[in-house]
Amino acid sequence: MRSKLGLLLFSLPLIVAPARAQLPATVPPQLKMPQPQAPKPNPEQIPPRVWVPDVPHVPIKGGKKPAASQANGATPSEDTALPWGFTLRRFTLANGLRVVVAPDHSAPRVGVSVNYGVGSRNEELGRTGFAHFFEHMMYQGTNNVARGDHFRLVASVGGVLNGRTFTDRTRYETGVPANALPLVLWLEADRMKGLNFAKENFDNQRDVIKEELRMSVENAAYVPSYVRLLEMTYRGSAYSHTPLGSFRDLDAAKSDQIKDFFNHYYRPDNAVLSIVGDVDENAIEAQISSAFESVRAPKEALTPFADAKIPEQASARADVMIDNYAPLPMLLAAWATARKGSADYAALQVAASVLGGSNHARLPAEWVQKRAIATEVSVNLRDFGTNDPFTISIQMASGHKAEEATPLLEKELERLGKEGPTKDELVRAKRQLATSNALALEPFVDRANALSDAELQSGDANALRKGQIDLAAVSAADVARVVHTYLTEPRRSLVEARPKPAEVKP
Amino acid sequence: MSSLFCSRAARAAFLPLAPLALGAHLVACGSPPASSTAHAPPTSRASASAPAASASLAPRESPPPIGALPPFSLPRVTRESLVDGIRFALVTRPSAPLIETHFVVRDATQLVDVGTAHVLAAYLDETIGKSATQLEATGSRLSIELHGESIEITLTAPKKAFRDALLLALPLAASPKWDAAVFARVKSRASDAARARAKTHGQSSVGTAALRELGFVGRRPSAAEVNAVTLEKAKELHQKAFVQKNVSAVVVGDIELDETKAALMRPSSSFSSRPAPTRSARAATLPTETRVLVIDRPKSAQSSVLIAFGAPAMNKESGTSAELLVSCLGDSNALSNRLFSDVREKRGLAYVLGSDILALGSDSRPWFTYAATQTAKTGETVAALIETIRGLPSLRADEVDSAKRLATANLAAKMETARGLADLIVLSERFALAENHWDELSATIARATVPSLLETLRAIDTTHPLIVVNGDADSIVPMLRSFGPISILDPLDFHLVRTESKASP
Repeated sequence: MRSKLGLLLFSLPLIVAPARAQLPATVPPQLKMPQPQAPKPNPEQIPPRVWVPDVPHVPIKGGKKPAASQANGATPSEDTALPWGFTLRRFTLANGLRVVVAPDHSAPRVGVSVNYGVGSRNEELGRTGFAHFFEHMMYQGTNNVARGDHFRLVASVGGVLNGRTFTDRTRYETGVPANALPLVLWLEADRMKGLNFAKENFDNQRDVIKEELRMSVENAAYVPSYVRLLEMTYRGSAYSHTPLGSFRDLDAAKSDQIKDFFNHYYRPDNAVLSIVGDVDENAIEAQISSAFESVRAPKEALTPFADAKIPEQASARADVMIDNYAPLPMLLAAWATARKGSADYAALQVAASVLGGSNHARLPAEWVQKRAIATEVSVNLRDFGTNDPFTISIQMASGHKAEEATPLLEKELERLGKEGPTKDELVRAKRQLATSNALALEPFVDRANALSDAELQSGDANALRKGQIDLAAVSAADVARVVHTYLTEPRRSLVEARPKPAEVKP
Repeated sequence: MSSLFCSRAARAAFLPLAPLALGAHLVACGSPPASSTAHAPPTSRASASAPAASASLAPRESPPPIGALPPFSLPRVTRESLVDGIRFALVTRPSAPLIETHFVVRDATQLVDVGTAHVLAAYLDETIGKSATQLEATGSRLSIELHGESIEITLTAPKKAFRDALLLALPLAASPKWDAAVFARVKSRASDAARARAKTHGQSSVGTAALRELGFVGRRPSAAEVNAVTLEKAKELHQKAFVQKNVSAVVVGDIELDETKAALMRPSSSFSSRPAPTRSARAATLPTETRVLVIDRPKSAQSSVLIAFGAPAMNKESGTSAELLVSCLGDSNALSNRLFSDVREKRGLAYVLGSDILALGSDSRPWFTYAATQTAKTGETVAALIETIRGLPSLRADEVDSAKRLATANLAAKMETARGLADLIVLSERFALAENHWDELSATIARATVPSLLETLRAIDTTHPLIVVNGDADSIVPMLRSFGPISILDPLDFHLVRTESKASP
């Protein structure tokens, strides 16, 4: 269930809590450059439509139940109840920039996503928060664009934009009327060539980021506990700190270090451009080539990111956090699981949906609605670009303690690991995931983001389609197997967030 | 994940309901965009004092000129009534994978009270129970929630499941089974949630406190308001509000008129045929003197600041002008607005900040300007927000042009999704706007000029704001004394704890 609480925890920027950020052991030394993607044939046309496979539709009237073979979803159905037709065109420019275009003429708009293969996992010890700092600096101007003009130019055509930093990538997204595409391409190509690293910009953005840190961590309930949870889950790896870094590292950052960061990672052969929307299909390739041809190919080859493996966790980890702002106790659990794109990942997605995909899924139905021991249950599989975290958070109801939830959670996971989901649960989870996918890919900017993510992370934007085919093929036995394999007690990290007792003023 | 701007969730936390972004108003059907003249974006320039490091030797380039916005037409909205009196609006959107249906139960918060409306919506959402799992098995989703002053039943369904999903979902909401034990459980959870909102972060409580103070009933309830709800009051509200003449439907998706009518007919008959409820219009109480409300959050690292004024109603020409003014000041979608460029980018006072007019009220609407800032800079931030608002008379033509373009572009963006289109039409239904309202509005936007916006600004009282701050009272009260008399409120129920008089200048 993606509750409001879930949003607070997972959709707000996630940042290392200042106190925890002082712990040096959480970041491995010297992690170098991102993993290059193999060059793709140029240009490559991918004719098949991206589609959302679905299990066959079963009318509710008459109480018909899906047949067993259908319910197990062993094979993708021919019935594409949720077709979402768009074609993909992929090609690579001479300078190494990979491009994905998905025309859609249903609205006079375009969504543009530029995704660089650098995130918080690339940060060195003592330099946490650099990737995110850099994301802010990307809007502070260039030789051709004065400070503030990037915003002004996009706003002047009625556009919207944002930048986001993840563990493995940094993404810049813009939505504009279709006729403003040349402007967006010009702006993206311009800043790919170089930035304005003036001290004034640097100091100002440091202040803005610190305010973000205060808002999202220092002043927010449960977030420090979540940050702690990820530190525990990814201990000893490049993924144990979150993108915003620490006050200490932000204060210590020097502008020349930020420049080095740019030169190291912001290069065309480490980026993906994706465009979705009302483009001129005959002219788009030439348009893109023309805009980016002045971005020179780097002289030196891209050094791959040393994808440090997540150390295998042999025994359960647990911690208690006293939370100044938590109104109610919360139990947070996490497991490092499978990488996105694998068959196990699809089965874990179904497991997450069965456990907490809606208010009526197993955990909320039992704990929130029936027994009323919790107010919210949130189950998520996050995208980290590595062995992704499967997280469960349970906010307890008044009068209940977080420790009550631990044995209940263990019991539920054991049951799912042994028996798998029921036929009805499996059908429901797969259909709900298909609906989620259809909704998530509807807005142009979101679709452009999903395509650039898939191209960057998997080397092929069609991974988006493969993920949906994998989902349709998941069986009850698959779900049982991944729960039994990954969501075990020794592999688990657990944080109990306890509300700070009220102080009695003298 | 970290982002350049705050997430929607972070901004939304300030606002007890979705802000009324200007684009949301433009449901013009087939109208040309507001601005149709050729447009060249402002020519950029390098900062002379700070050349770019990596490209300082390259000749400077200018951004490409941008032509006129391409013309576009919004899909046609067909409006009809079913034989039982339920009105519905349909937008046929071929190829959309899902059908989006909203049933709007109008003015629920005005008929009894806000706490009852909130708990009733939660109760109906919960009692769907087993049927919801059947519904979910078709790939459909159902939610029943309070949106502003209305309760909305929202169903998203694959086309094949649409008819069955409606049949399953609607009777449960229209003729619910009442269960005292379930009701008590839902109420207890709503009470927990209200307490959690009050403590979890400050943004939520400043919006709620401001709406409460100004007399708007489309807001979240406090824990005390939830605790005062009874099953009898919930039944009374349901009886009054869930009647055919108080409900309208909006359908967007790959479905034709006859099919829609046929699908809606049977399930909609489960709403009662009792007469439409009579409601007394409640006027907002706009501030006539500057006052400061402080919601105490001991040792808070940040303060959430909100400045509230009254803005003209949605169906007035000045209402449209006010929204364009908001866009120039700090609409959450506008990137180059004054708050963002001055208060955040130049002065670094806040990460989250913005300005929005909410879709509430009939005569006047709440205009909120907000920011989250560190405790030590609370006074400076309040002053900066007020100063930026009061600086609006220096409005420039390029700012107004950007605001007009943004309004039009937002409208086009709504066309990308069925939900976006449905939201536009729902707005019409919630406020019972005239069918040509959006065409008129579109023309108004096209006519807007700097002088016309300034005329609207002069009619808005920006000299006596309501200032609401959530933060560590011990630290921030001394910084706020110069703005006006201070009332310190309890964070849970907003009752008055103590007052402080305004400091002498």
